[in-house]
Amino acid sequence: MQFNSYSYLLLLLVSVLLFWNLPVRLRHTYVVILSILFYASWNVYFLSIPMIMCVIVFCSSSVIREGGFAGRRALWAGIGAIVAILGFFKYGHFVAENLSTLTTWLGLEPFPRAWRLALPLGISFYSFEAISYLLDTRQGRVKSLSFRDLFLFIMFWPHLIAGPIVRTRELIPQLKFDKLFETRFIFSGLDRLLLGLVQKNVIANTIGGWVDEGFLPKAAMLNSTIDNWTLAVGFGIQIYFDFAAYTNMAIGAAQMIGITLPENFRFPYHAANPADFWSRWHMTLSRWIRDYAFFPLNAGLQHKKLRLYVSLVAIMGVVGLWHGAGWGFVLWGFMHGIYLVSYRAFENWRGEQTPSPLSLRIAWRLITLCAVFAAWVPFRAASLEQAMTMLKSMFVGFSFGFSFSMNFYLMALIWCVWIALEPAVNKLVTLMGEPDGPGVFRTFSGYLLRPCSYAILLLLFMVFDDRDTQFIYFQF
Amino acid sequence: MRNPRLQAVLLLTLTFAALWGMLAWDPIRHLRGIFVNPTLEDAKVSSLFTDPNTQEVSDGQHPLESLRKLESNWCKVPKRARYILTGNSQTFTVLLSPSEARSTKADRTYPDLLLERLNAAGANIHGYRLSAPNISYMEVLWYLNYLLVHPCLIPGEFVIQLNFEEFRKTGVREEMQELLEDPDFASAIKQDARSNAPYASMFQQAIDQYESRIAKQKGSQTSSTSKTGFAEARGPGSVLETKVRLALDGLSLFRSRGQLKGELLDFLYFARVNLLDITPTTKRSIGPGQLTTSLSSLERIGELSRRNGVRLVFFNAPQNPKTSLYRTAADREQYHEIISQLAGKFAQGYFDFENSIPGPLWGVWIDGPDPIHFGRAAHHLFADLMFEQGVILGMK
Repeated sequence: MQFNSYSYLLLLLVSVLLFWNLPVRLRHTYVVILSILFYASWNVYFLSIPMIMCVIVFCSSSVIREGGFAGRRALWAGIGAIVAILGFFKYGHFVAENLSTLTTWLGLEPFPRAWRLALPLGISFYSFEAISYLLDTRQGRVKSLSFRDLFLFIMFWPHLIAGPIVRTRELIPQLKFDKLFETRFIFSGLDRLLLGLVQKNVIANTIGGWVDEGFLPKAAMLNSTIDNWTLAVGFGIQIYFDFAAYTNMAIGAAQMIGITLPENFRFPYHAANPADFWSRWHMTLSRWIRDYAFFPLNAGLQHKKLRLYVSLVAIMGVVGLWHGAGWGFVLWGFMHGIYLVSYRAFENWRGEQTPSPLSLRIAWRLITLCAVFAAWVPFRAASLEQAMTMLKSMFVGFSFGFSFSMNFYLMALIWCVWIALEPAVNKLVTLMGEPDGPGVFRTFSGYLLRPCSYAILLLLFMVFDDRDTQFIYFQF
Repeated sequence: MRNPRLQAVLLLTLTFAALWGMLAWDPIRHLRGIFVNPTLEDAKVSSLFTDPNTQEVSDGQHPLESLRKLESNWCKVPKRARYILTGNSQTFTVLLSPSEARSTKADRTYPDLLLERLNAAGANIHGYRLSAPNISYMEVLWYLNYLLVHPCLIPGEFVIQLNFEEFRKTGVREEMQELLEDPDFASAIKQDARSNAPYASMFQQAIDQYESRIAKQKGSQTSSTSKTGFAEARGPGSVLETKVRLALDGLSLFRSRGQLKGELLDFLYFARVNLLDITPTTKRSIGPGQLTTSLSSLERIGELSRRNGVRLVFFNAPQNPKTSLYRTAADREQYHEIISQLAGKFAQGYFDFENSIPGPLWGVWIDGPDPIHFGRAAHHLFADLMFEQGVILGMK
């Protein structure tokens, strides 16, 4: 059941109304049932995978809590089991295919190709949640072990498929569901939900049609430099609004039952440099990687710059691979790793304490923007060969001409302007829409502005309704 | 109001009331009115002659039904006596010139008039207009593939309108994908999609879109596989969504969302024309990608026609002399060179009608002189010209 489907929206409304009319003691079970039904609405059989993970995490955690060597062993066994499940479903085919290519190239008996298995929805996300639960248990951050809480921590439907990737300390304390009903839960929840619907249906899907056409393998080889840059920007816009839409709808749905989920985006294309980009883009993944991979692996290496840099590039390569089993994703990750290292190295060379002149700050912003957009090319391209051809045309072999409808170039430009203005618009909307904000807006916002804005957003969602598109991050 | 629950219910009620009001009042139509001069809009004739026996009356919206009907009609007609003419909206639009007035009778466009003239001259011939607005040559190839797998639909002559604008169009629109319902066609097109031709990946994309849509409608468990290895699994949620949509479609206001989208896109189009001055007559070149894809589609049409004994005829469509579409003289030269080479290689007939319609006979619409649509008199003139030149099976 897609977040931007009529069935989901109607059921959400009914479920929320029912939730607030239930006694507190039944709410937890009710949300568990909703979460199970939500996942089962995609595929009943795959429901077993997150459930098995919950059992693995619960068993490992009970040993981890005892501490000592057994706890350490249980931690690695638990992580190993989760990674094995993830690897089997997500990377089995990829590994077998590459081994087959390698053995054929070496003139050996070809490695048998694996069956291409259907990837259980959201497996990358709930695997990371499961791992973070284990690590948090090991670090003593999980106060009491409860299978009910663990199950809902992983299976909570708003974040189950594509995040935000939550921490135990963020979600578990809220799972008591003992809040009293407040209007702001519905107001702020609907704000985010409807914003997400429009971001997905109006922006991401519309520009996505052209992007899909431009990235078609054979056609893409003929694109001009202008086409390829527009496609890179176009996909950057599409994936941002697509993922931000999902996140907004997840946060909105959770807010409607009084749960606060962490933010995932903070105007990423306004990043001042590559490091800043990762503090604004998919923020919950960035902090997961930072806290559970980068810091533990590089503890005490602050003075061994080269090792730090290699580790950073390698970790970003793995982040790429986490997105999907393909070399394009790995290249995307490596590119970001190289951007981060280049920025760090430059800042070290310049002396981090020295304030940057304005020209340098502007230059870094522009470089970051171009670099981020260029990196989307291998992420989206159908093959490495296609990505390299497109990147070559963008940076070296210049050719001019417009291959697509003028509307595509125009739309890319309009959404770029929108992205540039987004922080200011966001500030204004927050001020006007705040139910507890300036008094003049209170009644106006509650009973006139809000219903009218909601109706306009719903109308746009309906007008641009397209059942054939799914969220990009559902693939990961 | 102190009670938060009542506040929430009131908010939702007001929201749905506002939505209902908007659907009923149709604000987009009013927005569109800002840019549209109703007098000029009237120039587009809405009461046109229709005949499902000689025209694909849905203009690319539901071609399967039309083609099935044609198949039952044409099985009695010998192949040599049937022809198909395909082109863009020029073939089914009458846009009155400033000197023309609306008529009470249904207007006919040049394909109808031409067929009428041929039969009046005793040709005893069966013609069919298989057109769609902004038709791409990939779509023409898509159609031809369908015709060729149905012996009763294989025409004696296939007449293709060539147009500089259409070389910039690529892809197969969603509505035409329904032809894949036909198993013989699906198998033929899948084979074409596996080729190395530049259009092949777009055919594959169209097939994937269609299969994905059908899987969603049927709620089947698996369908396409994306490049990340994610095989879309569709279960009970998809079935439920189909049912909810069906139920909502029972509400007339809900059904009007398609019309609202059309009006909104129209509004955006006119906003583009009026605010940014980017009109259909803004001169543009054809991008290398579009050119290669269109050319490869036309070449494939040539090969298939030859292989199946179909006489292929190209004609270069009339263009409004007041609004040349070529950005540079080189564009024009290159375009003419390409189409004449193409015709030399594959076509049994080639006619250049680019300058055949005098300026005063062309339509003027909301955004100025129209580059491809002309008035009533021009349709008559052009049909006469096509008849005199023997475009159809060399008959005059």
